[in-house]
Amino acid sequence: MNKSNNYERVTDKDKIDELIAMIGPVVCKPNHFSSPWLQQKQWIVTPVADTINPMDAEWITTASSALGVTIGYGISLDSDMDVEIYKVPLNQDALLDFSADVSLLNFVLVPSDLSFAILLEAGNYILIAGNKQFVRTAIGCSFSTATTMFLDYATDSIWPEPTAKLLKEVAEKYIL
Amino acid sequence: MCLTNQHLITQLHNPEAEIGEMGASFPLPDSNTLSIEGIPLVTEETYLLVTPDSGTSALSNNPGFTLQQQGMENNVVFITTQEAIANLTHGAQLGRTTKGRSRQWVQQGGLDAAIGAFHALGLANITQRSGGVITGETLDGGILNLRAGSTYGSATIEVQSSNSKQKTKVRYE
Repeated sequence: MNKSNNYERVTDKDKIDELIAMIGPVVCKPNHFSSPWLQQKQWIVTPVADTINPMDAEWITTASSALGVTIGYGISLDSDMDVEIYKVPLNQDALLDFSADVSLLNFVLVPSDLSFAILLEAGNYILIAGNKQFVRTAIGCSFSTATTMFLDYATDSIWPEPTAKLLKEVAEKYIL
Repeated sequence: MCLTNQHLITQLHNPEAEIGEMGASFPLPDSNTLSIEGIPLVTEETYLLVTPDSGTSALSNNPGFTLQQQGMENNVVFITTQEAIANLTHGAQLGRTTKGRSRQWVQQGGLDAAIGAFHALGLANITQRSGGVITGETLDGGILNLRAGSTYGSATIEVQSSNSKQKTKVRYE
């Protein structure tokens, strides 16, 4: 992991405990956001197909930069592994390296002020959550186009049953 | 029995290899402690077979995939990223191509087939990571990740090329 030193593992126990406590109410482990949290914060969530690609990384960088945020923390959500936390600079290269290294695992990426959250599901989808302006910038297109693109992906007839069920669940929870 | 060059290479790199009428077989090293959800990645019965005439990997799904395309080192058959993709996707169904996203394939056989296909490639530096992910490397620096399916998805092999951001994912149903 971490081939190019673009991100680093967090080892400080106090910081780890702080971050784990912070995301507790935000996520429904391992691969969803908590509905009460979304309602309370009035966050918008937009699902994006697959894993982070260079365009996503650039748009997320732009969106987080507009909030004055330059560092995120990637926190593992899989129950069958010890919690791993990485400090990830919010730039294109670091985001791509990080997402590639954890691409078949479930992680949530948040800044320390929790002004947004990005859930990287284990290789099937991404959930981009935050205020409307952040999400609109981070998805790089209109909400309508993002919805169309995700539904096109989610309804592909080739998916094995578990994947089809998973993607349908995501569409129903966040779009339909 | 007439020994082919491949037999000789096999013996050279693996003195314990057994040469029989059906070809050469030898256990792949260092992987028999790896497992996914309790299923061993490599068992005592798992061998890479080399047929005498064609040099074709008997575990390969792709009849056109031959060991002549690969290099051998330290008893492990190395493979390039493109060869790995060709092998994994042979006979698979291609999903819709979405610009800038991974190329998505669906292969038959479930978790057992995923483990078998991953193992049969002869990847280098196979390691088990946290979260039940097994990782291996191709000859040209590509990374392959295997994760077993769960209630949340299907068993998946992901291929990351060293010189491209484009990924290939093969899901097993």
